Amino acid sequence: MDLHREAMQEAHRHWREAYGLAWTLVRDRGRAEELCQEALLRLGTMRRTPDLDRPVRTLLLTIVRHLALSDRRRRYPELLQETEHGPDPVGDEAPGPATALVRQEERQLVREALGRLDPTWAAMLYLRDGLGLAYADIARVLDKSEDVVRVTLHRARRRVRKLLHPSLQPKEP
Amino acid sequence: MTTCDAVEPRLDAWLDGELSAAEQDELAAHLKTCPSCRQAHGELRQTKAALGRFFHHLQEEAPAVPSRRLPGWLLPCLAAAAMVLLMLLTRERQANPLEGLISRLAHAATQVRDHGTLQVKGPGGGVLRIAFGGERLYWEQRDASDTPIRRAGGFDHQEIWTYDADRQEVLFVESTGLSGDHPELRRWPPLVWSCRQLLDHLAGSALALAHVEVRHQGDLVEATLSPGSEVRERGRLGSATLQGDDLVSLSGSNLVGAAAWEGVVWDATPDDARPFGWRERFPDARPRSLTADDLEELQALGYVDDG
Repeated sequence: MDLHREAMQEAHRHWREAYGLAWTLVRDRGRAEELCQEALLRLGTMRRTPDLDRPVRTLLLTIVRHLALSDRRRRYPELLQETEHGPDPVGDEAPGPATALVRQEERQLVREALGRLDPTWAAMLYLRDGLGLAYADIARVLDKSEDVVRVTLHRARRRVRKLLHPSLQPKEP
Repeated sequence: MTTCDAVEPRLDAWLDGELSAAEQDELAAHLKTCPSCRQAHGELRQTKAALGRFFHHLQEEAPAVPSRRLPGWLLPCLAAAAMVLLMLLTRERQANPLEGLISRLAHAATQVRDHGTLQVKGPGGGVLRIAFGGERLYWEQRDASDTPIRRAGGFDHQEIWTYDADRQEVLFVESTGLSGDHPELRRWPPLVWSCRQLLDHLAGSALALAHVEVRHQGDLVEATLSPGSEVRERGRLGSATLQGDDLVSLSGSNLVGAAAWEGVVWDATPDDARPFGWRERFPDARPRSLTADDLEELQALGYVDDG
Protein backbone atom coordinates (compact mmCIF):
# COMPACT_ATOMS: atom_id res chain seq x y z
CA MET A 1 0.00 0.00 0.00
CA ASP A 2 1.61 3.22 -1.12
CA LEU A 3 2.18 6.17 1.16
CA HIS A 4 -0.27 8.42 -0.58
CA ARG A 5 -3.08 5.93 -0.25
CA GLU A 6 -2.41 5.65 3.46
CA ALA A 7 -2.49 9.40 3.79
CA MET A 8 -5.83 9.61 2.03
CA GLN A 9 -7.28 6.90 4.22
CA GLU A 10 -6.03 8.82 7.23
CA ALA A 11 -7.66 11.94 5.88
CA HIS A 12 -10.97 10.17 5.47
CA ARG A 13 -10.86 9.18 9.11
CA HIS A 14 -10.76 12.86 10.04
CA TRP A 15 -13.66 13.77 7.81
CA ARG A 16 -16.01 14.66 10.66
CA GLU A 17 -13.41 16.83 12.33
CA ALA A 18 -12.80 18.65 9.08
CA TYR A 19 -16.52 19.09 8.60
CA GLY A 20 -16.80 20.67 12.03
CA LEU A 21 -14.10 23.16 11.20
CA ALA A 22 -15.64 23.98 7.86
CA TRP A 23 -19.03 24.52 9.42
CA THR A 24 -17.54 26.71 12.10
CA LEU A 25 -16.04 28.90 9.42
CA VAL A 26 -18.86 29.06 6.89
CA ARG A 27 -21.90 28.34 9.10
CA ASP A 28 -23.66 26.35 6.42
CA ARG A 29 -23.94 22.57 6.42
CA GLY A 30 -24.14 22.09 2.70
CA ARG A 31 -21.28 24.41 1.99
CA ALA A 32 -19.22 22.87 4.77
CA GLU A 33 -19.65 19.46 3.25
CA GLU A 34 -18.69 20.73 -0.18
CA LEU A 35 -15.59 22.36 1.19
CA CYS A 36 -14.56 19.21 2.97
CA GLN A 37 -14.97 17.18 -0.16
CA GLU A 38 -12.89 19.71 -2.02
CA ALA A 39 -10.29 19.58 0.72
CA LEU A 40 -10.02 15.83 0.36
CA LEU A 41 -9.66 16.24 -3.35
CA ARG A 42 -6.98 18.87 -2.90
CA LEU A 43 -5.15 16.65 -0.48
CA GLY A 44 -5.27 13.82 -2.94
CA THR A 45 -3.94 15.90 -5.79
CA MET A 46 -1.02 17.44 -4.00
CA ARG A 47 2.08 17.21 -6.09
CA ARG A 48 4.03 15.35 -3.50
CA THR A 49 2.85 12.68 -1.23
CA PRO A 50 1.78 14.40 1.96
CA ASP A 51 4.69 14.67 4.26
CA LEU A 52 3.71 12.44 7.12
CA ASP A 53 6.02 14.33 9.43
CA ARG A 54 3.21 16.79 9.22
CA PRO A 55 0.16 14.94 10.44
CA VAL A 56 -2.45 14.40 7.79
CA ARG A 57 -5.06 15.60 10.24
CA THR A 58 -3.36 18.97 10.57
CA LEU A 59 -2.81 19.17 6.85
CA LEU A 60 -6.43 18.44 6.12
CA LEU A 61 -7.64 20.99 8.64
CA THR A 62 -5.31 23.56 7.16
CA ILE A 63 -6.68 22.97 3.69
CA VAL A 64 -10.23 23.24 5.01
CA ARG A 65 -9.37 26.49 6.71
CA HIS A 66 -7.88 27.90 3.54
CA LEU A 67 -10.82 26.86 1.41
CA ALA A 68 -13.40 28.09 3.89
CA LEU A 69 -11.86 31.49 4.30
CA SER A 70 -11.41 31.83 0.54
CA ASP A 71 -15.02 30.89 0.18
CA ARG A 72 -16.04 33.58 2.58
CA ARG A 73 -13.96 36.16 0.82
CA ARG A 74 -15.50 35.23 -2.47
CA ARG A 75 -19.02 35.34 -1.14
CA TYR A 76 -18.47 38.42 0.96
CA PRO A 77 -15.87 40.50 -0.85
CA GLU A 78 -16.13 43.29 1.68
CA LEU A 79 -14.42 41.01 4.13
CA LEU A 80 -11.14 41.23 2.29
CA GLN A 81 -9.05 41.18 5.41
CA GLU A 82 -9.30 38.96 8.37
CA THR A 83 -9.65 40.92 11.54
CA GLU A 84 -8.68 39.94 15.00
CA HIS A 85 -11.89 41.34 16.29
CA GLY A 86 -15.24 39.92 15.61
CA PRO A 87 -18.47 41.84 16.07
CA ASP A 88 -18.79 42.81 19.66
CA PRO A 89 -21.74 40.87 20.96
CA VAL A 90 -21.99 43.01 24.04
CA GLY A 91 -24.54 45.69 23.45
CA ASP A 92 -26.35 43.64 20.81
CA GLU A 93 -29.65 42.04 21.49
CA ALA A 94 -30.21 40.53 24.88
CA PRO A 95 -28.63 37.23 25.82
CA GLY A 96 -30.54 33.97 25.40
CA PRO A 97 -33.59 33.61 27.52
CA ALA A 98 -33.36 30.05 28.76
CA THR A 99 -32.81 29.48 32.44
CA ALA A 100 -33.25 25.74 32.40
CA LEU A 101 -30.28 24.32 30.57
CA VAL A 102 -31.27 21.31 28.50
CA ARG A 103 -28.86 20.01 25.95
CA GLN A 104 -30.81 21.17 22.96
CA GLU A 105 -31.24 24.63 24.25
CA GLU A 106 -27.60 24.77 25.16
CA ARG A 107 -26.61 23.78 21.66
CA GLN A 108 -28.80 26.45 20.19
CA LEU A 109 -27.30 29.03 22.46
CA VAL A 110 -23.79 27.97 21.67
CA ARG A 111 -24.59 27.95 17.99
CA GLU A 112 -25.91 31.47 18.20
CA ALA A 113 -22.93 32.55 20.23
CA LEU A 114 -20.52 31.13 17.71
CA GLY A 115 -22.48 32.76 14.96
CA ARG A 116 -21.70 36.13 16.41
CA LEU A 117 -17.99 35.54 16.49
CA ASP A 118 -15.53 36.12 13.77
CA PRO A 119 -15.22 32.79 11.98
CA THR A 120 -11.54 32.52 12.79
CA TRP A 121 -12.30 32.97 16.47
CA ALA A 122 -14.96 30.30 16.24
CA ALA A 123 -12.56 28.06 14.38
CA MET A 124 -10.02 28.41 17.17
CA LEU A 125 -12.62 27.39 19.71
CA TYR A 126 -13.51 24.39 17.60
CA LEU A 127 -9.93 23.28 17.16
CA ARG A 128 -9.25 23.57 20.86
CA ASP A 129 -12.49 22.62 22.57
CA GLY A 130 -13.79 20.39 19.83
CA LEU A 131 -10.66 18.62 18.68
CA GLY A 132 -8.28 19.21 21.56
CA LEU A 133 -5.51 20.52 19.39
CA ALA A 134 -2.53 22.10 21.07
CA TYR A 135 -1.96 25.79 20.57
CA ALA A 136 0.95 25.07 18.26
CA ASP A 137 -1.20 22.94 16.01
CA ILE A 138 -4.02 25.47 16.03
CA ALA A 139 -1.52 28.11 15.01
CA ARG A 140 -0.35 25.93 12.17
CA VAL A 141 -3.82 25.18 10.88
CA LEU A 142 -5.01 28.77 11.04
CA ASP A 143 -1.71 30.32 10.04
CA LYS A 144 -1.48 32.39 13.18
CA SER A 145 1.12 32.73 15.89
CA GLU A 146 0.75 30.86 19.13
CA ASP A 147 0.47 34.13 20.99
CA VAL A 148 -2.46 35.12 18.79
CA VAL A 149 -4.08 31.77 19.45
CA ARG A 150 -3.63 32.15 23.17
CA VAL A 151 -5.07 35.67 23.27
CA THR A 152 -7.88 34.94 20.84
CA LEU A 153 -9.06 31.87 22.71
CA HIS A 154 -9.21 33.91 25.87
CA ARG A 155 -11.22 36.66 24.21
CA ALA A 156 -13.46 34.29 22.28
CA ARG A 157 -14.41 32.32 25.36
CA ARG A 158 -15.15 35.49 27.26
CA ARG A 159 -17.52 36.58 24.52
CA VAL A 160 -19.20 33.21 24.35
CA ARG A 161 -19.54 33.24 28.10
CA LYS A 162 -21.28 36.63 27.97
CA LEU A 163 -23.65 35.38 25.31
CA LEU A 164 -24.46 32.22 27.20
CA HIS A 165 -25.14 34.05 30.46
CA PRO A 166 -27.35 33.52 32.36
CA SER A 167 -27.74 30.02 30.98
CA LEU A 168 -24.57 28.88 32.60
CA GLN A 169 -24.72 29.11 36.33
CA PRO A 170 -21.32 29.79 37.83
CA LYS A 171 -20.25 27.21 40.28
CA GLU A 172 -17.49 27.07 42.76
CA PRO A 173 -14.86 24.61 41.52
CA MET B 1 2.24 38.26 44.76
CA THR B 2 0.21 37.13 41.76
CA THR B 3 -2.58 39.53 40.90
CA CYS B 4 -5.94 38.75 39.41
CA ASP B 5 -5.04 40.70 36.30
CA ALA B 6 -2.10 38.39 35.79
CA VAL B 7 -4.12 35.26 36.47
CA GLU B 8 -7.38 35.76 34.63
CA PRO B 9 -5.88 35.91 31.10
CA ARG B 10 -3.97 32.69 31.77
CA LEU B 11 -6.89 30.63 32.99
CA ASP B 12 -7.63 29.55 29.46
CA ALA B 13 -4.13 28.31 28.85
CA TRP B 14 -4.20 26.56 32.22
CA LEU B 15 -7.36 24.65 31.38
CA ASP B 16 -5.97 23.94 27.92
CA GLY B 17 -2.88 22.35 29.40
CA GLU B 18 -0.55 24.90 27.87
CA LEU B 19 1.12 26.17 31.04
CA SER B 20 4.29 24.97 32.58
CA ALA B 21 4.20 23.17 35.90
CA ALA B 22 5.48 26.27 37.69
CA GLU B 23 2.79 28.44 36.15
CA GLN B 24 0.13 25.92 37.08
CA ASP B 25 1.27 25.93 40.67
CA GLU B 26 1.24 29.71 40.67
CA LEU B 27 -2.34 29.91 39.43
CA ALA B 28 -3.54 27.14 41.71
CA ALA B 29 -2.12 28.94 44.70
CA HIS B 30 -3.84 32.16 43.70
CA LEU B 31 -7.22 30.50 43.22
CA LYS B 32 -7.11 29.13 46.73
CA THR B 33 -7.25 32.65 48.07
CA CYS B 34 -9.28 34.48 45.40
CA PRO B 35 -13.04 33.83 45.10
CA SER B 36 -13.31 36.07 42.09
CA CYS B 37 -10.76 34.13 40.09
CA ARG B 38 -12.25 30.88 41.31
CA GLN B 39 -15.57 31.99 39.89
CA ALA B 40 -13.97 32.98 36.63
CA HIS B 41 -12.25 29.60 36.53
CA GLY B 42 -15.55 27.81 37.09
CA GLU B 43 -17.33 29.82 34.43
CA LEU B 44 -14.56 29.15 31.99
CA ARG B 45 -14.76 25.42 32.63
CA GLN B 46 -18.49 25.51 32.02
CA THR B 47 -18.04 27.49 28.84
CA LYS B 48 -15.43 25.05 27.57
CA ALA B 49 -17.67 22.15 28.47
CA ALA B 50 -20.62 23.67 26.63
CA LEU B 51 -18.47 24.33 23.59
CA GLY B 52 -17.09 20.82 23.75
CA ARG B 53 -20.57 19.32 23.84
CA PHE B 54 -21.66 21.45 20.94
CA PHE B 55 -18.66 20.58 18.81
CA HIS B 56 -19.05 16.92 19.60
CA HIS B 57 -22.65 17.09 18.47
CA LEU B 58 -21.55 18.99 15.35
CA GLN B 59 -19.23 16.16 14.39
CA GLU B 60 -21.92 13.64 15.11
CA GLU B 61 -24.17 15.50 12.72
CA ALA B 62 -21.56 15.52 10.00
CA PRO B 63 -22.59 13.61 6.90
CA ALA B 64 -20.61 10.48 6.34
CA VAL B 65 -18.12 10.18 3.52
CA PRO B 66 -19.56 10.19 0.94
CA SER B 67 -22.64 12.25 1.61
CA ARG B 68 -25.50 10.18 2.94
CA ARG B 69 -28.15 12.80 2.67
CA LEU B 70 -29.69 10.82 -0.13
CA PRO B 71 -30.09 7.06 -0.09
CA GLY B 72 -26.75 5.25 -0.07
CA TRP B 73 -24.65 4.30 -2.96
CA LEU B 74 -27.28 3.94 -5.63
CA LEU B 75 -28.01 7.59 -6.04
CA PRO B 76 -24.49 8.74 -6.88
CA CYS B 77 -24.23 6.08 -9.55
CA LEU B 78 -27.53 6.91 -11.09
CA ALA B 79 -26.84 10.59 -10.82
CA ALA B 80 -23.75 10.23 -12.97
CA ALA B 81 -25.61 7.94 -15.31
CA ALA B 82 -28.39 10.45 -15.42
CA MET B 83 -26.21 13.02 -17.05
CA VAL B 84 -25.26 10.60 -19.79
CA LEU B 85 -28.77 9.37 -20.20
CA LEU B 86 -30.19 12.83 -20.32
CA MET B 87 -27.81 13.67 -23.10
CA LEU B 88 -28.80 10.57 -24.98
CA LEU B 89 -32.38 11.55 -24.56
CA THR B 90 -31.65 15.01 -25.78
CA ARG B 91 -29.96 13.66 -28.84
CA GLU B 92 -32.35 10.88 -29.62
CA ARG B 93 -35.55 12.58 -28.64
CA GLN B 94 -37.02 9.40 -27.29
CA ALA B 95 -38.32 8.45 -23.89
CA ASN B 96 -36.40 6.12 -21.64
CA PRO B 97 -38.11 4.30 -18.82
CA LEU B 98 -35.34 5.28 -16.47
CA GLU B 99 -35.65 8.96 -17.20
CA GLY B 100 -37.97 9.70 -14.32
CA LEU B 101 -35.84 8.02 -11.71
CA ILE B 102 -32.52 9.20 -12.98
CA SER B 103 -33.57 12.77 -13.54
CA ARG B 104 -34.86 12.87 -10.00
CA LEU B 105 -31.47 11.79 -8.76
CA ALA B 106 -29.48 13.99 -11.09
CA HIS B 107 -28.46 16.41 -8.37
CA ALA B 108 -27.23 13.83 -5.93
CA ALA B 109 -23.81 14.01 -4.48
CA THR B 110 -21.41 12.07 -6.56
CA GLN B 111 -18.35 11.67 -4.45
CA VAL B 112 -18.56 7.97 -4.64
CA ARG B 113 -15.85 6.29 -2.70
CA ASP B 114 -17.38 2.95 -1.99
CA HIS B 115 -17.53 0.11 -4.42
CA GLY B 116 -20.62 -1.66 -5.47
CA THR B 117 -22.57 -3.28 -8.20
CA LEU B 118 -26.16 -3.31 -9.18
CA GLN B 119 -28.01 -5.39 -11.66
CA VAL B 120 -31.67 -5.24 -12.41
CA LYS B 121 -33.70 -6.99 -15.03
CA GLY B 122 -35.39 -4.62 -17.35
CA PRO B 123 -38.69 -4.79 -19.09
CA GLY B 124 -38.66 -7.33 -21.89
CA GLY B 125 -35.82 -9.27 -20.32
CA GLY B 126 -33.16 -6.63 -20.66
CA VAL B 127 -30.62 -5.91 -17.99
CA LEU B 128 -29.42 -2.75 -16.40
CA ARG B 129 -26.02 -2.94 -14.83
CA ILE B 130 -24.18 -0.38 -12.82
CA ALA B 131 -20.79 -0.71 -11.28
CA PHE B 132 -18.93 1.92 -9.40
CA GLY B 133 -15.85 2.39 -7.39
CA GLY B 134 -13.95 5.36 -6.12
CA GLU B 135 -15.17 8.15 -8.31
CA ARG B 136 -15.79 5.98 -11.32
CA LEU B 137 -19.01 4.76 -12.72
CA TYR B 138 -19.95 2.25 -15.34
CA TRP B 139 -23.43 1.84 -16.59
CA GLU B 140 -24.80 -0.31 -19.30
CA GLN B 141 -28.08 -1.47 -20.60
CA ARG B 142 -28.47 -4.74 -22.48
CA ASP B 143 -31.40 -6.18 -24.30
CA ALA B 144 -32.89 -9.62 -23.84
CA SER B 145 -30.18 -11.19 -25.99
CA ASP B 146 -27.52 -9.66 -23.79
CA THR B 147 -26.55 -7.28 -26.54
CA PRO B 148 -25.40 -3.97 -25.18
CA ILE B 149 -27.67 -1.14 -26.04
CA ARG B 150 -25.88 1.62 -24.28
CA ARG B 151 -22.75 1.80 -22.27
CA ALA B 152 -21.38 4.69 -20.38
CA GLY B 153 -18.71 5.56 -17.96
CA GLY B 154 -17.30 8.49 -16.18
CA PHE B 155 -14.68 9.52 -13.78
CA ASP B 156 -14.16 12.41 -11.51
CA HIS B 157 -17.59 13.64 -12.43
CA GLN B 158 -16.12 15.82 -15.08
CA GLU B 159 -15.85 13.69 -18.14
CA ILE B 160 -18.34 11.15 -19.21
CA TRP B 161 -18.43 9.17 -22.35
CA THR B 162 -20.74 6.66 -23.83
CA TYR B 163 -20.55 4.20 -26.66
CA ASP B 164 -23.57 3.63 -28.79
CA ALA B 165 -23.40 0.13 -30.24
CA ASP B 166 -25.99 0.86 -32.90
CA ARG B 167 -24.23 3.88 -34.25
CA GLN B 168 -20.79 2.71 -33.30
CA GLU B 169 -20.06 6.14 -32.11
CA VAL B 170 -18.31 7.43 -29.06
CA LEU B 171 -20.34 10.17 -27.58
CA PHE B 172 -18.24 12.33 -25.42
CA VAL B 173 -20.08 14.29 -22.85
CA GLU B 174 -18.26 16.86 -20.86
CA SER B 175 -19.78 18.28 -17.80
CA THR B 176 -18.57 20.70 -15.21
CA GLY B 177 -20.60 18.93 -12.63
CA LEU B 178 -23.88 17.30 -11.94
CA SER B 179 -25.75 20.46 -11.25
CA GLY B 180 -28.36 20.07 -13.89
CA ASP B 181 -26.51 22.05 -16.52
CA HIS B 182 -26.75 20.60 -19.93
CA PRO B 183 -23.30 19.46 -20.91
CA GLU B 184 -21.99 19.76 -24.38
CA LEU B 185 -22.49 16.73 -26.49
CA ARG B 186 -19.97 15.76 -29.07
CA ARG B 187 -19.93 13.04 -31.62
CA TRP B 188 -17.21 11.86 -33.86
CA PRO B 189 -18.10 9.15 -36.28
CA PRO B 190 -16.60 6.91 -37.55
CA LEU B 191 -15.28 5.06 -34.56
CA VAL B 192 -11.65 4.92 -35.50
CA TRP B 193 -11.60 8.64 -35.61
CA SER B 194 -13.91 8.86 -32.68
CA CYS B 195 -11.21 7.75 -30.38
CA ARG B 196 -8.59 9.99 -31.86
CA GLN B 197 -10.86 12.95 -31.75
CA LEU B 198 -11.69 12.05 -28.22
CA LEU B 199 -8.04 12.09 -27.41
CA ASP B 200 -7.61 15.38 -29.17
CA HIS B 201 -10.45 16.77 -27.21
CA LEU B 202 -8.98 15.57 -23.97
CA ALA B 203 -5.69 17.06 -25.00
CA GLY B 204 -7.37 20.40 -25.29
CA SER B 205 -9.44 20.11 -22.20
CA ALA B 206 -8.96 21.71 -18.87
CA LEU B 207 -7.04 18.65 -17.83
CA ALA B 208 -4.06 20.14 -19.61
CA LEU B 209 -3.06 16.95 -21.31
CA ALA B 210 0.13 17.61 -23.11
CA HIS B 211 0.90 14.45 -24.94
CA VAL B 212 -0.92 11.78 -26.79
CA GLU B 213 1.16 8.84 -27.87
CA VAL B 214 -0.20 6.64 -30.56
CA ARG B 215 1.29 3.25 -31.38
CA HIS B 216 0.35 1.07 -34.25
CA GLN B 217 0.64 -2.68 -34.31
CA GLY B 218 -0.97 -3.85 -37.44
CA ASP B 219 -4.48 -2.65 -37.16
CA LEU B 220 -4.13 -2.28 -33.47
CA VAL B 221 -3.85 1.31 -32.42
CA GLU B 222 -3.04 2.20 -28.91
CA ALA B 223 -3.13 5.73 -27.75
CA THR B 224 -1.84 6.80 -24.43
CA LEU B 225 -2.71 10.08 -22.85
CA SER B 226 -0.04 11.59 -20.75
CA PRO B 227 -0.73 14.28 -18.24
CA GLY B 228 0.27 17.82 -18.85
CA SER B 229 2.18 20.11 -16.59
CA GLU B 230 -0.64 20.62 -14.15
CA VAL B 231 -1.35 17.00 -13.66
CA ARG B 232 2.04 15.59 -14.43
CA GLU B 233 2.42 13.73 -11.24
CA ARG B 234 -0.98 12.19 -11.34
CA GLY B 235 0.28 9.48 -13.57
CA ARG B 236 -1.10 8.25 -16.77
CA LEU B 237 -4.47 9.70 -17.36
CA GLY B 238 -5.81 7.23 -19.82
CA SER B 239 -5.38 5.10 -22.85
CA ALA B 240 -7.49 3.86 -25.63
CA THR B 241 -7.00 0.87 -27.85
CA LEU B 242 -8.64 0.29 -31.16
CA GLN B 243 -8.55 -2.73 -33.39
CA GLY B 244 -9.79 -2.02 -36.81
CA ASP B 245 -12.92 -0.04 -36.33
CA ASP B 246 -13.59 -1.38 -32.90
CA LEU B 247 -12.82 0.37 -29.72
CA VAL B 248 -11.14 -2.36 -27.73
CA SER B 249 -10.58 -0.64 -24.49
CA LEU B 250 -10.63 2.71 -22.87
CA SER B 251 -9.20 3.22 -19.50
CA GLY B 252 -8.02 5.94 -17.27
CA SER B 253 -7.21 6.95 -13.78
CA ASN B 254 -9.12 9.27 -11.60
CA LEU B 255 -7.73 12.66 -10.93
CA VAL B 256 -7.53 12.14 -7.23
CA GLY B 257 -4.65 9.85 -7.81
CA ALA B 258 -5.14 7.99 -4.61
CA ALA B 259 -5.76 4.83 -6.51
CA ALA B 260 -5.02 4.60 -10.17
CA TRP B 261 -7.82 2.94 -11.95
CA GLU B 262 -7.24 0.45 -14.67
CA GLY B 263 -10.41 -0.81 -16.12
CA VAL B 264 -12.08 -1.58 -19.34
CA VAL B 265 -15.19 0.35 -19.98
CA TRP B 266 -16.40 -2.16 -22.45
CA ASP B 267 -15.13 -5.03 -24.47
CA ALA B 268 -16.10 -4.75 -28.05
CA THR B 269 -13.76 -7.12 -29.85
CA PRO B 270 -15.52 -8.78 -32.73
CA ASP B 271 -14.49 -12.29 -31.68
CA ASP B 272 -14.89 -11.94 -28.03
CA ALA B 273 -18.22 -10.57 -26.96
CA ARG B 274 -17.41 -10.81 -23.33
CA PRO B 275 -19.95 -9.29 -21.03
CA PHE B 276 -18.97 -6.28 -19.14
CA GLY B 277 -16.72 -7.78 -16.53
CA TRP B 278 -17.46 -5.45 -13.78
CA ARG B 279 -16.74 -7.81 -10.95
CA GLU B 280 -13.38 -8.45 -12.47
CA ARG B 281 -12.75 -4.76 -12.71
CA PHE B 282 -13.73 -4.09 -9.15
CA PRO B 283 -12.45 -6.91 -6.96
CA ASP B 284 -13.57 -4.99 -3.94
CA ALA B 285 -17.09 -4.73 -5.23
CA ARG B 286 -19.70 -6.30 -3.07
CA PRO B 287 -23.32 -6.75 -3.95
CA ARG B 288 -25.63 -4.37 -2.29
CA SER B 289 -29.32 -4.17 -2.00
CA LEU B 290 -31.46 -1.43 -3.33
CA THR B 291 -33.27 0.69 -0.86
CA ALA B 292 -36.96 -0.01 -0.56
CA ASP B 293 -37.88 3.28 -2.19
CA ASP B 294 -35.50 2.81 -5.08
CA LEU B 295 -36.64 -0.73 -5.71
CA GLU B 296 -40.23 0.29 -5.64
CA GLU B 297 -39.65 2.96 -8.19
CA LEU B 298 -37.58 0.71 -10.42
CA GLN B 299 -40.24 -1.91 -10.20
CA ALA B 300 -42.81 0.62 -11.24
CA LEU B 301 -40.69 1.19 -14.30
CA GLY B 302 -40.59 -2.48 -15.06
CA TYR B 303 -37.24 -3.39 -13.55
CA VAL B 304 -36.88 -6.28 -11.15
CA ASP B 305 -34.08 -6.66 -8.68
CA ASP B 306 -31.78 -9.36 -9.96
CA GLY B 307 -29.47 -9.38 -6.95
